[in-house]
Amino acid sequence: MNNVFNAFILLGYATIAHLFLVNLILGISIIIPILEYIQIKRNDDELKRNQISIFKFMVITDLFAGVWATWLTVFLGGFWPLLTFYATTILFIPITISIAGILIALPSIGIYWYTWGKVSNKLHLFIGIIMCIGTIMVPLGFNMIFAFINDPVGINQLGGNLFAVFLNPLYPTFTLHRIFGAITMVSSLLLGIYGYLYYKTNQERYGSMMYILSYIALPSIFIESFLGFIYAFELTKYSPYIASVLFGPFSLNPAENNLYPLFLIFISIILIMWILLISLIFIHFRGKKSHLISISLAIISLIGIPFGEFINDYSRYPYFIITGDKGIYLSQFINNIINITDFWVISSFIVSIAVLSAYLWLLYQVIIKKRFSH
Amino acid sequence: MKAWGLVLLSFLSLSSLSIGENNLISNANAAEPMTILGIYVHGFFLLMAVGLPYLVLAYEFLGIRKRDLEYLNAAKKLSTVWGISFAIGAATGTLVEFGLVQVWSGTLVAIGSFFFAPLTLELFAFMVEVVFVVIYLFTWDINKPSWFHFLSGLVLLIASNISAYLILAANSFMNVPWGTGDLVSKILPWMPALGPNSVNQAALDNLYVMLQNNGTIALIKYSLENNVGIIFYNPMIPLLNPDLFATFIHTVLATIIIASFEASAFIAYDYIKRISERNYRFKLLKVSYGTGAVASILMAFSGDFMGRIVYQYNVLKFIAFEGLGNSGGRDPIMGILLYGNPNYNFPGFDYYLALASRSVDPNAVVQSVLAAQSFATWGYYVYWSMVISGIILFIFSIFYFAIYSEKLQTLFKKIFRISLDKFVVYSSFIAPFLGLIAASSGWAVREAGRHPWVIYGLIQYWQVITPNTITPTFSILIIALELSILVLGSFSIIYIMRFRGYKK
Repeated sequence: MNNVFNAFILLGYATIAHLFLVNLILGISIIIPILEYIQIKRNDDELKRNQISIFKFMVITDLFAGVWATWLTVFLGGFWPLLTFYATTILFIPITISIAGILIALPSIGIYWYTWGKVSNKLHLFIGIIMCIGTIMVPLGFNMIFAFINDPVGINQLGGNLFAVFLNPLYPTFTLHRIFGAITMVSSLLLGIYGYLYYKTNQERYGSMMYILSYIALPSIFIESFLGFIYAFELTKYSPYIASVLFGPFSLNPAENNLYPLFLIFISIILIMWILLISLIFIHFRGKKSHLISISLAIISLIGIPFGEFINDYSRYPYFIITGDKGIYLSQFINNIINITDFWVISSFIVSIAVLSAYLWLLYQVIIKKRFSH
Repeated sequence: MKAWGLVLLSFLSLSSLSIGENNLISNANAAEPMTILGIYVHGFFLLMAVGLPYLVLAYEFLGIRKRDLEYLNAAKKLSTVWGISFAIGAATGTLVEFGLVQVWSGTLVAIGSFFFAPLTLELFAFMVEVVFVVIYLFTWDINKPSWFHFLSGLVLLIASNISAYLILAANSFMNVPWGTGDLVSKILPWMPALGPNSVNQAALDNLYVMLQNNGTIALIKYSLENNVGIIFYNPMIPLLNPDLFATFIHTVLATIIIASFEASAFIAYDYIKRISERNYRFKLLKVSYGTGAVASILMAFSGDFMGRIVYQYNVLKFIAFEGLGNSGGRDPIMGILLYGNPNYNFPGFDYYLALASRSVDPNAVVQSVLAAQSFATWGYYVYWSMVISGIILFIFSIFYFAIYSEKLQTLFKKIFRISLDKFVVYSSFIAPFLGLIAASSGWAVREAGRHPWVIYGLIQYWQVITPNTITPTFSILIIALELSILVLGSFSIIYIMRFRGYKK
């Protein structure tokens, strides 16, 4: 294996792992204040219990997302310093927005947690909204990187107008698509989980959560799908290379790389999500339950984002930046001043998989088997 | 669409871009305050994340061993602070990380070479840390003490210390670029060989020349775009830096001292306020103060080790903080410690300035000496505030151990007219401040003392600054965010650290 391949594999691995987790965080951060608003309106303590358990899950996810963010930054800087330099220089403003978002979101998560029940409901909701705004600021900035490498608008603005990058035509649709994608993923996942719990326990606290989540998931998947359609159309215009990779035989110019079959699978995943979501909502509103549909919806909602991310990232291969129907090869950005040996790839995979497996095994032992309990 | 490709490729060639040295220096000077503050804020929370586990595990160990729920209660309480410090440390770490790649973007070359192995290995340690922080914090049950829980904390402690070692490896390389052989001595003639040569000296020589009138863009262009080939053959060598051994021990001891004495201050406050619970609190205080005292005594030896390394590899810094001035002179204590001779005559700045003629870049020698002279005007006081704080803590620690001897307690009371118990309680309010003064002064001396070099003898600070202008608005925004995190994070810790009485 060569430097470029090793670096590409590691970057892709870290990117997909990170984005999978941050989508969970983004979705939960948006849903949590909505749930709190409803909870305050209804004065519903059961809803508060659900809200707390969702939030706990988010805090742990956030820790892991932070680890992968660090992996991503070190891999970008270590393997692709040239690209990172151009990105941080030209995309200075969007990246600053993201950093400010991180700095607002992380402390506000802590404050939100520790002020629960200790300040007035309205103030607590306000802190939740700040947390939500901080979290949304992160993709608002970082998605510019993806928009930029698909269509490098503002590339010639170094020392000039650094806001020019915001004129990227792909940016608004792509960013909104990502945000609604996260809301869809999380609300469908939670709907599936609560559907299963409702089936198992018949407790109304789960049923009422399903009711609320239906009103979030359904509009969200509709908007996400609509924006996805628009984005695909925009790609044909502003990033035709990616469009040709994704649309295969239906594209105007065949590309070096063909992801058409994978793209079809991705579309199928979204369609299955639609079907499962509507089915679950339909049977729930008719007073029935289905553990099979619930579990399927939870699983499929988790698959959608990493799969879509894989297609999004791999569609640029063998280029890093797309310039119309061609691009700049990965090899032009690779770090040539050190050897990126196989050791780094193998050790990264082994360490990350071993540590995460150990974590899951321990959680299973502690929570399910009640071993090592004090 | 081809036009875009042409624009991009012409940008990549960067041939038309030229950023003047003066602009870059003013840009770097504008960026320095927010960077310094960011590192201090990060360090403030990180020192709790690295140092506090020693105290938490000491309480937990005693709690399990003695089946004492009071110790376990204290361990659990402090582990929440540990968790919060870890989370805020991670958040501010992101800030520092982005500060490096975005504001000091030339450091990308270092990340892609000298720092590559330490930073990548640190990813592994960080992952272990996160996993075990979750396990440790979420499986607490003080009513059922468990060695499994203690062991998970121990793994976390080891991982956080390895993480600190690896991050400090990058910082130590900035002070002592270990593995560059005699490269630096060609530029700064007084420098010894810095380990075996693991760099492409010809490529770095050329890079050094290229950097003289240019900054980050030249650095990136030359080393990454021009395909100069491998410039660093052994990425693991920064891990064997002698400066790293000294810095790591010194830093970890500092974190233990501050964290333990901070906890002592909170316990002492409640000791005074809650008369009915004094026995419980004094029991906790003996452990926290004792942990800080052991670390303070070890710090004296570590400080000696650190000082020898600084003298060997950063001698201008040594002259500045020892106040030896331009002409040098005798320094009896240092003379004995370093040469066994109180009359040893240390050379001053003039001696090193005279070596400029032997350098391939005499201007670098002049700049280094001028920077050290400028640093001496304030660095001397900062350094001595560190030393004096350390000496006072050392004395406090010696007194503390007298608590285990009744005769010494009586003697102490006769001399100072205060009981030793009271002394421990009241000195707990002074000790954390002394620790913080010593640590922040020590770090200031370490970092400012190598100015203007970001990597000593190779790359200057203005040569790695972003070509984008750092505006006052941007700096103020970042500084405001940093201060908000410092204030909010500190309040959270103060809020949790209040030790409430143990309720069965």
